[in-house]
Amino acid sequence: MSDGRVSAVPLAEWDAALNNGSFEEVFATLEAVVARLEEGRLPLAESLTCYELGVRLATRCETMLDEAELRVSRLEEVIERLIDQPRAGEA
Amino acid sequence: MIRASRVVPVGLLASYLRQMLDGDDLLADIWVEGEVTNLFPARSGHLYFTLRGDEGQLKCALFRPYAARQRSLPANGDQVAAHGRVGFYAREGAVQLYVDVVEPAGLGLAALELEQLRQRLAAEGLFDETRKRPLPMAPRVIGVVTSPDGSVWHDIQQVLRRRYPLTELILSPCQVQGDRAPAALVAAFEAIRHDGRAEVVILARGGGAAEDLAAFNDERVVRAVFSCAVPVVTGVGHETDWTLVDEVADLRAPTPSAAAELCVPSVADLAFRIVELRDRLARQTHDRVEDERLEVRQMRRRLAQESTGRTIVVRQAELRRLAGEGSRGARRRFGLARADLQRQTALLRALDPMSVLGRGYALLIDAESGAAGVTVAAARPGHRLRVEVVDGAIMTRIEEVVARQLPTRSARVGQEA
Repeated sequence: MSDGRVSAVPLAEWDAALNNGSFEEVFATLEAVVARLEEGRLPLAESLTCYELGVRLATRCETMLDEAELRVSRLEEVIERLIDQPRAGEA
Repeated sequence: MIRASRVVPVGLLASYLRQMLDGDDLLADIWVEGEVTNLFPARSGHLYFTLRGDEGQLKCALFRPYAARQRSLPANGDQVAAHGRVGFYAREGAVQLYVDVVEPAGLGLAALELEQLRQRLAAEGLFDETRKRPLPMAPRVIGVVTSPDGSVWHDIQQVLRRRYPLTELILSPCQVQGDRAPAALVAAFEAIRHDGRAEVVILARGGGAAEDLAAFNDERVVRAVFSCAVPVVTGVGHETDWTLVDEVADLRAPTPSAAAELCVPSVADLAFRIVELRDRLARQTHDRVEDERLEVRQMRRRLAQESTGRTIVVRQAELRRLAGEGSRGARRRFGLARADLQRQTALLRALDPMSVLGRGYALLIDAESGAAGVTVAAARPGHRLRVEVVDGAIMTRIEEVVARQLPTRSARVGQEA
């Protein structure tokens, strides 16, 4: 927080999840934020910060769900390599 | 004991026969093939039938717990291979087979081998429930071990595209049928391990004849599944097919599509949960702000109580109350006030110094100054005094002044010391 106090919530960590997290991380962070709010005893200003962050996390989750496209790949080359180069001791 | 040329009760012979049969290792674990006849499903859930061959027959009992475990129950006329132990049923005087597994005949030998393999692996602990691992809630990467051709791979992609497109699928393609299938399946698992990204693996194969699923009963494949570093979900064949990989897997799904479904949450559920979390977020924050507002309101109230504001408010209320009372009330109040005044007057009268004079006291007044309360300090011989008594005044003169001897301060201190 800007006033330099030690925050009762890991805002930096949550912010990082929002910006760079996978869906699971963003979702888990959203759950954590809600749980922390429900636990209570946060100063009002921090409650409001958490709320704003929570809303952004929820929106991010929804965007990720909307935009998700199944990625598919194959391991054929790996298998071929494995067949070509048997593990040491087996050759 | 039974000896030759001695008459024995039938019960004794029966128990002797039972001991003989029970003690025989071959009879304790045997496969018998024949045609099912006289099938009788008892109400207790047990199934009784007779296995008939060309030259003989054998009574069989398939008790309920075992009956419940069979893939399919025999019917009259079926050629079956039944596994169990041969015992003597004393009450009916009959030798019978206590069946634990019954399979269509022809599978007999394969079934025997499979059963032996199953027991060996079970004894090794490969099928222990305690080593079943929970699946990740929402895997980022799912490995799929199956044939790249055919509908299974296509179906799995379809399910995941619809249900949870957030994930990434890695196909480890392999042959799932034929002699080379076991080695291919093992290599596919090895490739998954080598790649290292999958958080859960689906091992799948479409439905087919029982012998087509042989690779999934292969010991090498079972061990590959067992040693897979991440949980394995099987979807092999149809719902009724049951193979050893199903037993070793962390989770068995009835079909390939079901396996894909079991691996992931659904986006619909997730979207719903996000909405729910949003609600909780909003409600929580609203409540929090309301709490603060309430607190401010209470503070304000307390502040008002502490200040003159409250006094004014109370007085105003009193005034209003008084003003609201009728004239009778006002008169009553006036009467009370008058009574009070009389009481006060009587009290004042009692305190009148003149009334004290009636009791024999006198009041001294310095005639020169007119001041009451004559003191030794002020009195001088020859001064005139006026003595007020109950019925008048007496004029007199001071003869002598005698100061009362007070202890000196130093003397008191000395006494205390």
